Amino acid sequence: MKKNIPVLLLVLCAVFIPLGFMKSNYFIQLFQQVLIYIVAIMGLNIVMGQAGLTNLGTIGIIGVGAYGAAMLARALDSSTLLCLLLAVVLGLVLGLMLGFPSLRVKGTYLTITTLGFSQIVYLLLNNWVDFTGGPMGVRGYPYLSLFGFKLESAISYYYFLLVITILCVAFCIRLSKSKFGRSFRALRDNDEALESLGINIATIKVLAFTLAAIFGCLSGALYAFMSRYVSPNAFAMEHYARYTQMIIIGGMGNIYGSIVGAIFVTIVPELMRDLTTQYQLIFNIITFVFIMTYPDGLLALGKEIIRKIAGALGGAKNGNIEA
Amino acid sequence: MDIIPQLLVTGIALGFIYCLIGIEFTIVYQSTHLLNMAHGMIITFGAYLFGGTMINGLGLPYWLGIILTVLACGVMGYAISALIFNPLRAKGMIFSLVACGIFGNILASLYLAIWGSYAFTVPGFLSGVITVGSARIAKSYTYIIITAIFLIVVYELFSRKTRLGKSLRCVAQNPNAAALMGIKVSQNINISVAISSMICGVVGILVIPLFGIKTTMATTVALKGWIACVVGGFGYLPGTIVGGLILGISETFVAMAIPSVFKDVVSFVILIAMLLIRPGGIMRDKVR
Amino acid sequence: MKKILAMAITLTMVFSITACSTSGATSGTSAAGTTPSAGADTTAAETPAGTPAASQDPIYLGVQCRIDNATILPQEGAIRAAKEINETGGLLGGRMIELVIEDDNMQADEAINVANKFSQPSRKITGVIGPWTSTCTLAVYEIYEKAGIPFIVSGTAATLEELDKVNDASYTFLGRASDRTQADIAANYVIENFDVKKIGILYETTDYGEGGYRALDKIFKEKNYEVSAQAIGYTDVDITTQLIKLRQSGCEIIVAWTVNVVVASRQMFELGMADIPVVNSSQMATASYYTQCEAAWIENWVSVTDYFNEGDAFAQGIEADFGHAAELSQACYYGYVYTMAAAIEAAGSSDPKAVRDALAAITQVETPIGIARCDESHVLNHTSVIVGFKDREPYIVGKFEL
Repeated sequence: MKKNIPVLLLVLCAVFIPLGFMKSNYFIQLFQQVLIYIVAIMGLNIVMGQAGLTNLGTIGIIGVGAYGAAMLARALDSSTLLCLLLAVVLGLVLGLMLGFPSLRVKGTYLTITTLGFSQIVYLLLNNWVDFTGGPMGVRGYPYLSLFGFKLESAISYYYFLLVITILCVAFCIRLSKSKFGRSFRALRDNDEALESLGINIATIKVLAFTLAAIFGCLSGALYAFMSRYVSPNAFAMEHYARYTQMIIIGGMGNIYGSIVGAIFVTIVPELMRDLTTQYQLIFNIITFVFIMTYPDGLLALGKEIIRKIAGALGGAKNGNIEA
Repeated sequence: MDIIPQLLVTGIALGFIYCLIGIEFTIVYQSTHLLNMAHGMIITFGAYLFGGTMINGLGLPYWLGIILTVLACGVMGYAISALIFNPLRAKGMIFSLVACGIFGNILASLYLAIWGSYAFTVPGFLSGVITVGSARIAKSYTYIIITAIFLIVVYELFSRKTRLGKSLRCVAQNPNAAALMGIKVSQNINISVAISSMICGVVGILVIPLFGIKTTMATTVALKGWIACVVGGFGYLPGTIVGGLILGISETFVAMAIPSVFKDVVSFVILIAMLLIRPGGIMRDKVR
Repeated sequence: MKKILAMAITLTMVFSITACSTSGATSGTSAAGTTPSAGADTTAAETPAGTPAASQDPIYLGVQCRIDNATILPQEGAIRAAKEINETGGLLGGRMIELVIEDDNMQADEAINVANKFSQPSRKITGVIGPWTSTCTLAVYEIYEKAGIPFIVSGTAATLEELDKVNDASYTFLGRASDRTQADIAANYVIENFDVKKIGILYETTDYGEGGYRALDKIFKEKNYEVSAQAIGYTDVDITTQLIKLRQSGCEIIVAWTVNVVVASRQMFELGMADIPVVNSSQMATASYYTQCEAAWIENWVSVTDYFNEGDAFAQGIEADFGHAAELSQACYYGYVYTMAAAIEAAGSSDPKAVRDALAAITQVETPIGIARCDESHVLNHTSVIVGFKDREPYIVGKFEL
């Protein structure tokens, strides 16, 4: 019960803080972006943080999900949960597509394969003009509607995203504690032991990729309805770095770490806009130095700081030495 | 068909560019088992330093500019290795990947700040065309082919015959055993990366007449070079030549058959096919 | 321990709410730092220079584009224009222009963030210069329309002329003639000056190239020309196969709608195609590009552009402030700032709606890319220049008024 207090507080923050910013679309859409990234990061965390399989194909997966949802919405001239469902199905297909190569290739080669996948997705989205509209992208589809209720205002779409994100995070927490979660971590740490326990490694790997792809495609679809315009530019291969940055800066393998990472990488550069137009460069320098000096991530850093403060306070109060 | 010689020559020339990049990439991978994502920026540094400072800025003769630039790139590689690769070696590949990526972005901003935002070139450097039968190729392509072969021969000799070369190979194969033998592992890794960076510098200089000097000049070829060494066989240098040539030639010929704009997809399809069918690369039996 | 955690989270919550709501209330005094450019002191360009006792509020103009770009630096034009206007006393009887420059990295998400930021009422933005690209414009136009802020874009995609209406009177202004119009000019130049039957089109796979290609293809096919087209990537370093295919198709002239002109001209020369005339979109006229070419490569090239650097006062100003030659990007944003300024003067206030109405009525503002005049489609620029090359020196072949 005590363990859940920080989580509860986090959820309360997510529910109530935006109310203070209701007048400003800037902050609400920023928060929307954070939530969309968190959904994608949940998937990446499963496959990379827990199962230890490098997956640089996140941006490609998101691109497929975004375009799938957008094109269906435009074709039907209505955006409903059906489009999100399509994204989930696409994720399933992609996950299997990426999962099977992961059985044959390992480590570095897997990295390169997934990167190649991202690049292929971008090239197809950009150059297959007849199907995807090419560089001009896809637009002209309506806001997402939930059972007839149009999520037109920024704040309504934010709360919808919040519900979805909480569901995704809760799912991942449960998964992490389940036998699947344990299998993923075993895969990362000691895959031979896993085999000896009779668990099929192939199934685990494919499952990890499939989950990552489902979350990624879902994230892409949610993005499509946030901006109501998708273009290949947003899914250029260079963007793969953003997601791996979030995972590492927050704390590898840790669900809360990933959330912290997503929030940090999205919000901090935006807050720095007012300081200088070179905020991107300064943010890069900060993250670079941080990764080099404290690779364990922000969450671990935060915990350590809190531990030290608690230690100092507790020691001063009771004269005891806190751990 | 008279275009076949033209396509062949173009494919071979491109193949050797990919091959050179594959070589410097393999050198770093062999010694650190890390992917040097910043190599594109080192190539760009070589180009900027040579073009911007040595020739356009100081007006030095070509040979002096080349030597100084290559040395500077070596120093830069040593620094990157000491500051990034060695510390992150234990943490794993993904950390160095991300760190190098961010570092590359920082470098790009730095180049724009130092040498200005406008793309430029070294006028008249390695320019000109030579005719080989019915094909016309840029002179710079021939320089690239000759330099690539030369560097490969020199590096193979260095790595097999000299003491330093052998110790670098030891470190690559088994860092623990090497350490037990009294070889300073970190130091050797720094030297490997320095050598790789010097090759990057050479590539940067050679491609100036082809790509111009700007921060994005090396992004595509850096990736293709990566693919070349995977296709050829990660860790076996002459295999990189095979990989590069396969990539360059097939890209060019396939681009004649299909809408040329899908040319880049060809490289990635070859990559994925190779990884699925023969994960060690074409010459994987010779990989050490 | 958990109590400490709870306390920390609560404090953060309180802190962030108070901090964010107060920073939203301060006026946008974010005349942000400028790009480090070689050897130029640019800070003076933004703070009002030699202001009289300005008892009135500044006028805030948003500037949106990618900041650290190679060769495309529109914000420099805006900075220079604002500086000049402020030095001659500002607008509306002494109010200084203050630019709020934001980097959108030519990406849709960041463009959305910038547009949302500019739309905050607390920032008091009167008008926005930008975005630069068509895709960013498509991503943000609804935001500006709903917020009621007039903005002048540099995107040239034909779809920008057919945006879905949000307001009865649109706040979107197109600073440059669309790809369709520019392709028209290029096509007519070909038709009137060359007696050919087969035309080749070389275009890049970006919104810009695609738009140009579609327009060109339509025009040429209507006039019964034989057209063969090849697509290239805008960062491609080798386009041999595309050029060979064009050569095989027997085309007698090529229209090249791409940024990748240095590689194209060099490889055409290498393949022995240098005698085929080429009509390029605006890029070859950029000094940064044609100086990378050799004279023999571009003897038969012309470029259809909006801006030709004739060393006028604007060009000298850019050279002085930033240390490099003025190009199309600076010229565009410079012109837009002056156009916006003229609209503000005509409206007599910095109220965005009034400025929008004044912009729609603009008829005669001198800018480096031509006289700005707003037509029914809200297009402001109607002149093009065709530039040819002799011994790698550019010269004007003709000027077109639409």
